[in-house]
Amino acid sequence: MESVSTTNSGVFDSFAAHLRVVKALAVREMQASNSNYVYGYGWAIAEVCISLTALIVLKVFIHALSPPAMPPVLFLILGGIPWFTFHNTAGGMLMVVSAKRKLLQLPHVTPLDIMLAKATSVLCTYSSVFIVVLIGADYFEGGGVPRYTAGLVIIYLMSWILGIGFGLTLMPLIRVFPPALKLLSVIWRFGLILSGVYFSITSLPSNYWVYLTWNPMLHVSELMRTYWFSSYQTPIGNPFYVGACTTGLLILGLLLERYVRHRVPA
Amino acid sequence: MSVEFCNVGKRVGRGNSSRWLFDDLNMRVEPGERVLILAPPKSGKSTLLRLLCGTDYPDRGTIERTSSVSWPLPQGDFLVAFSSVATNIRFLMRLYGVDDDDVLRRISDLAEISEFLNKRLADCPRFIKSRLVLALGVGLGFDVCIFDERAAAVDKEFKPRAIEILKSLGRDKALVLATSTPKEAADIFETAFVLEEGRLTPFPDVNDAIKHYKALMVKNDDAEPDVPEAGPELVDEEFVLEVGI
Repeated sequence: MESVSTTNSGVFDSFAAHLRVVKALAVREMQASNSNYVYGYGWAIAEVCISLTALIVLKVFIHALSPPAMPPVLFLILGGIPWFTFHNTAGGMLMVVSAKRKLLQLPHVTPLDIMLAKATSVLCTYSSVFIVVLIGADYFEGGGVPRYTAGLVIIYLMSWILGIGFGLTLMPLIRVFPPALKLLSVIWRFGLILSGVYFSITSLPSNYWVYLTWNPMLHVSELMRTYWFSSYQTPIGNPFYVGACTTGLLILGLLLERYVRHRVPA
Repeated sequence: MSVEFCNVGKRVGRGNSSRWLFDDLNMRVEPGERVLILAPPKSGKSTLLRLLCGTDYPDRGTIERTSSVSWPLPQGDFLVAFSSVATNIRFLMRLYGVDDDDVLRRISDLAEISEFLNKRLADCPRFIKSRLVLALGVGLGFDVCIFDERAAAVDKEFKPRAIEILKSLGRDKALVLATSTPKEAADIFETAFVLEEGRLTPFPDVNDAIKHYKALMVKNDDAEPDVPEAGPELVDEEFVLEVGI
C-alpha cells in the first residue's frame, strides 16, 4: 500500500512537498468555494462577472476618461481584471488564515501554504474570467488582436505576484494590530481610483503624473492597454518598475512571514 | 524511523502570565510501538501531541522526526461539510502525496462507509465523520498515528471494529494515545509515560503507569481541598468510576 512520506532529504524535496501542499489546498479551496450553493464554483466566477458589470455600468454613468481610440469595455477589462486579481489576492491572503485556521491541525500545512493556496485559487478564477470576457468584449467591440500577447501575460502575472507580496508584507501588521484591516478597506477604495482602472494617464494633466506614477498598479493598467491596443502607447508604464516592486515586495513579504511565523500566532 | 524529543521545553501564555508547560521532555517513539501517555486534564497533552506531529514548535530543545506522523485523531474539523466524502478523502490523499485509488477504497472499507462516498458530508449521518477521520488517520499510511484523549472515538456499533483495526495495525506503525482516562488503553498499548509537572516519566509496563497515574490523581485531589469540585467537563465519568474517587 502506498503511504505518506514526510521525510524530505533536501531543499528540492522540501520545495516539492510545499508545492504539493499548496496544490492540494488550492484545489480544496476551489472545490469548497460556494459549495453550499447549488452551482458551487460557478458562483465564484459569477461574482467576478457581476463586479465587472457593475464597474462597466459605473463607467457609463460617470463618463470616465477613456481615450477615444480604445473601446470602452475592453479598456475597463484590461485595467479592471488585473486590479481585481491584485486586490483579491492580497485581501484574500490577509483573511484566509484566520478563516481556515482548522487546516493548521494538519501536519505540513503552514499559514504560508494556506495563503499561497488562496492566491492560486484567485489566479485560476480571475484568469479564466479574464480570458472569456476579453475574447467576448474583443468580438463585440472589434478591438483587434493584442499587440504583444506575451507582455500581457507577464504583466498580468506580475499583478498577481504583486498581490502576493503586498498580502505577505501587510500580514504581520494585521496579525499584530487587527484593526488595521479597517484602514485597509479605505486604501483599497483609493487604490481602485488611483490605479487607472477608470482612466488612462493621458487623460490627466501631465503635472499630476508625478503624484500617481509611484503606484505600480497604475503601470500595470497602462502597460496592459499598451500591449493590447496598437493605437495606445503609455507615456509612463514601465515594466521594470513593476518587476522591481514585485520582487522587492515579495522578498520583504517572505522575510516578514518567516520572522512572525513562530512569534505571533496566526 | 522514529520521533525523538530531546530536552524539549514549551512555554505557554504571554507576558507576565507565561510559564513553562513542559520542561526537559525526553521521549522516543519507534516503529511498532504502542505508547500510552497518561496526563491529568489541562496538563498539556494536546500541546504535546501537536509538538509530536509538527504543528507546534518547541521553545527549547529539539524534536527529530524521521517518520510521518498523523494529525491528532479524532480531530476532523478541516473536513468540508458541503463536499462529498470522496472529495474530502481525495483532498487528504493529495495533501500527503498519496496517489493511489486503492487507498480511497481501503479507507472507505475500513470505515464501512462505501455507500456514502458520493454523498455530501453534511447529508451523512453524524457517525460517518468520526469513522471517516479514524479511517483517514489509519488508512493514509502514517508511520505514527496519534490520538488525543480517545483511541476509538466512534459510534458504539463501530467501536469493536475500530479497536480491532488499531490492534491489527502493522508492526511498522506506531500508535500514541495521550489521555486522562486510561480505560480503553490497557489492552492496546505496551509502553507508557506519565506526564506530571511538565515532565514525562517512562513506565515499561502500562498497568504500573496506570497505577501510578491513579495514585497521582488521588494525591492531587487530596492536595487541593480548596479547589471547587470539578464539573463533568474536567473529570471524565469513566475515569471517576475506574479510579474510585
